Amino acid sequence: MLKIYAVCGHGLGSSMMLKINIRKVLKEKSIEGEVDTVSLGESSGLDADIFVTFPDIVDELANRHDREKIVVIDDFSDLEEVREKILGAVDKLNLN
Amino acid sequence: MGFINVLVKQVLGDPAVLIGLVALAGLIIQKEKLTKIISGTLKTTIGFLIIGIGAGAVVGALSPMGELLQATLDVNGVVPNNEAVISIAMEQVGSQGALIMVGGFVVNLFLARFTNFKYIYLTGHIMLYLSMFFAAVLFSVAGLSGTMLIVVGSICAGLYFTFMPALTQPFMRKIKGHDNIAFGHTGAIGNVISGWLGNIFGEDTKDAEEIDLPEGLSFFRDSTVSMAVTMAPIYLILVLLAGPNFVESNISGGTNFLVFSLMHGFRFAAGVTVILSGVRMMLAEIVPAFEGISEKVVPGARPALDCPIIFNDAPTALLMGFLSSTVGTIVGMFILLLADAPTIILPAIVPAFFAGGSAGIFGNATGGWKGAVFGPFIGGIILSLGTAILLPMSGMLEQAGTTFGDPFYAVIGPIFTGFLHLIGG
Repeated sequence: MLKIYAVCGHGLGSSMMLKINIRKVLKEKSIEGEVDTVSLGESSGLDADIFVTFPDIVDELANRHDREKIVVIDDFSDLEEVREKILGAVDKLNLN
Repeated sequence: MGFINVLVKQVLGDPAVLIGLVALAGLIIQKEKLTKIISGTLKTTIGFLIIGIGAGAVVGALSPMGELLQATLDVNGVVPNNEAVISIAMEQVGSQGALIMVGGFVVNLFLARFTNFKYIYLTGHIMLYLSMFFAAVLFSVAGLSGTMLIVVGSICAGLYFTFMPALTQPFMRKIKGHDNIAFGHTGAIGNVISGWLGNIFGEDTKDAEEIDLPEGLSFFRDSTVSMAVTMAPIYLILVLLAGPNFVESNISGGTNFLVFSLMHGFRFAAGVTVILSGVRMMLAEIVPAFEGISEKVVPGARPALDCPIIFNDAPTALLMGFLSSTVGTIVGMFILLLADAPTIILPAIVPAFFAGGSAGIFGNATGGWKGAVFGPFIGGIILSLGTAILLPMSGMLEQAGTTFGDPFYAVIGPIFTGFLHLIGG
């Protein structure tokens, strides 16, 4: 099953909103998937199909995970942006 | 009779179970699948228990610091850290705080539905911390208990959740360029002060974003690392002030002073990391439920969200605010030392980044780069002084060895608890 982590500094606030929006997008398209939040630090020991994060910590995250797996969201409250980027990343996974 | 007694007193009376039931209700309302309902409920309950485990670790890491400060400066020194202090509060008022969080959300929903203040607070951990603060001071300072405690606490929390975002919204419109998103964090009052102070310089001042700053502070975004690299030196300074010999013979039990300082700094970071993962697990299903419910009850309301919602809008102002707020808290600490205050608030990295950084962005919106530096600097001083005033008035949390660290607790906290002291006794 598809596994997605929403990552932010503490894994509490902005990643939570991002998680809510990613879940909405997956639900719209009836895509089975598990979405959880995690802090930047704790993401080190984890693996997932997609890591979603924000521009200010993407470099730190890229030190820990394959850049190919990382999706960068500018505005985590913008459902439109989340929809476009997450569905794009899911399509790319299905092609591989 | 015995069975009902066990059910009511020991099962429902346990805050971990209670919060699990809140999640259970949320998951059922959201029409989730059975497996998700079960796992979500269990993880919420276990998240609460994890917070308690982290509390023990944090207390263990902090207690020698109290001894050190007593020995060297004869002061009560505390580290402001929201996670640490709420984990201690939750041991005593966990159930009441959890119910206040839910009640505060309901009051927020009600106000947003029936007034023109269309704001819904969705920063879950801030809702939790504020609710624990209200539970702790209403219980131990005002002497409230039972239903009364929960009703009064819910009203206080609900008022904050609804009206504080409204106060920040004029600045948010300026920063975001639209009116769809609100700011929901306990740093908000500091942001507003910073935004007001920015007016001294005026909008003609060069914008912070036109200035290049060297990068390389991004590793501070890893909260575990940033806490470890700030707490270990703070410990080391205190140990050096007390004298390595004194520490090795009286406090560390023979452990080398350098090893002792580093390990206690790291232990603090470890404890807070455990608490953070507990908070994350506990809120994982509750916040989505709040969001789902609010969308149905108050469609189109502005969600009030965590600090990073504005980080992209002015990254240089964020960095300026972070640095000058850090300097402000250090200046504040020296003011307390020089004034011979009984309580010294040590500098802390997390509020400096989230609250100080976002205050920098607000200051920049009204007063350019000067506003981005000045407001957070003043905010940092206020953070140290205000928290030092709050601490002796915080009832059961006075001796916790740690305290709240955010502008809300430093500005509104002393006023609120001072009022409770007046009416409570």
